[in-house]
Amino acid sequence: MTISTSNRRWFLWGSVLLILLFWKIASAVIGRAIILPSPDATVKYAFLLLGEREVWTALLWTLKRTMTSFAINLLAAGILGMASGFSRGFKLFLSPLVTVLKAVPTMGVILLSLIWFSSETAAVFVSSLIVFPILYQAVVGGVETIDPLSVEMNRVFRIPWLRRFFHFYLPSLKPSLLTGIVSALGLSIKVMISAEVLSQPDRGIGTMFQIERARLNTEGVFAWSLLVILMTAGLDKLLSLLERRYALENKRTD
Amino acid sequence: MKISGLTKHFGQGPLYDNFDLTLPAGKISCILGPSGCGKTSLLNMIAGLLPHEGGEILFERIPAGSEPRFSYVFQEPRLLPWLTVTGNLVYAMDGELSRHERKARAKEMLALVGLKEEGKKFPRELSGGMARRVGVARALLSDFDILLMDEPLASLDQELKEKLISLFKERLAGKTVVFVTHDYYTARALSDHIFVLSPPPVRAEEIGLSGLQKILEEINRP
Repeated sequence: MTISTSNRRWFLWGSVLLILLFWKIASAVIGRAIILPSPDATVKYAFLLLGEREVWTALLWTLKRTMTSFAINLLAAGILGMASGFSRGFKLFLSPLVTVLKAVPTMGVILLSLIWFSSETAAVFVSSLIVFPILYQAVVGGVETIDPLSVEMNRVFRIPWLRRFFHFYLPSLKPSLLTGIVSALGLSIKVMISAEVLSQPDRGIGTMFQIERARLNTEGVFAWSLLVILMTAGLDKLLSLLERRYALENKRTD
Repeated sequence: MKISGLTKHFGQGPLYDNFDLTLPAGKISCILGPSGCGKTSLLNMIAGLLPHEGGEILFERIPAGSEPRFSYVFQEPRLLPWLTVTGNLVYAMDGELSRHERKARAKEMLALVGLKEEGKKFPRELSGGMARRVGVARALLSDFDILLMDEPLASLDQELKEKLISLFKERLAGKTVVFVTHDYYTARALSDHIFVLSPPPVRAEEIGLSGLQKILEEINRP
């Protein structure tokens, strides 16, 4: 069954309103803001937060850390994923490490990284480690689905490697890489904030969460959560626009 | 080009078993044979795309220690879907030429294969015949010592076949070309030498034009 655009909006907004309604009722029943603040109080507090310079600094620092770790990850996953995609031996060689990274509990990595690194580095390290397998698998999957007949064509025509990389391999990897990036970026932000909560860097959303928790300001914790949701949704939207643009490009060539 | 003692197995039996064939340099050689006799495999082994288990393929007129440069009209055009027709041609051309020069040559070649107006189209906007002609254009634009062509004119109408055969004759004079076809007209019009492959284990026999008609009738019999 297909759903029209206007109906989709009704479903989406209906769902949001229902969540808010349950939240409002639950907070009214409990009656204590320290346990469960109401949605309107949370939104009001979030607006208050947005008026403070320190809040923007925290948001930007977390975003900067996330992007740094994501860029490192993308580079590492790109290089190692391509090597694994082309060499079964290398893929096998990396498989124990990738299995460990996929299975290791996030909290365990955070605690260990706190012992090993400074609070600033720890958060970037944790996020990189947790997100790496997703991007790595996306690159390996992409390489493994590259058309072998086109690879032969490249060989026969002796295409220079730089031209081959930018005009053949990268476009071939684009669909699976975009899907990997979309699923990894949201996780990256979540893991980054969890790491910041424990590592307590000077500036960051996680540090702000911890401060609000220490003050027993549940409204603050909820408001920060709301800001993180909005930030992640914004990034998701940006990526889905990129994905849609890519799909449109492909459709144009159909 | 001298192929000697070539051995290649496919499935349970040998496809090529101690196979010998000499293809004259600087000439256009046509390979004919029934479906499944390994014509495409032979082209792929010559190009180094398919490893063989025994024997050797020696290339004349190639300086010692260097590999021959191949160009190939594949049976399926193998165009990159994210590049335009011109983009596909420019992509496969010699890296030493400037991009501007490569584009100019691509444009000229597209006009020669009857695709002057299709340069900005993407491969999926082309018919099978058009895509095949782009494959031909790409192969002719590449610098090569040996040109391999797998059914280069299949699914083209007679007028286009004639146009491309003239183009081949003009551009490929003195070049070493090996091509596979099922088409009597193409074989007769284009080849200097015609070789017929037998069913596996494959053997090759050179035939003259007089024997061509009879053999093609046998090959194409359902």
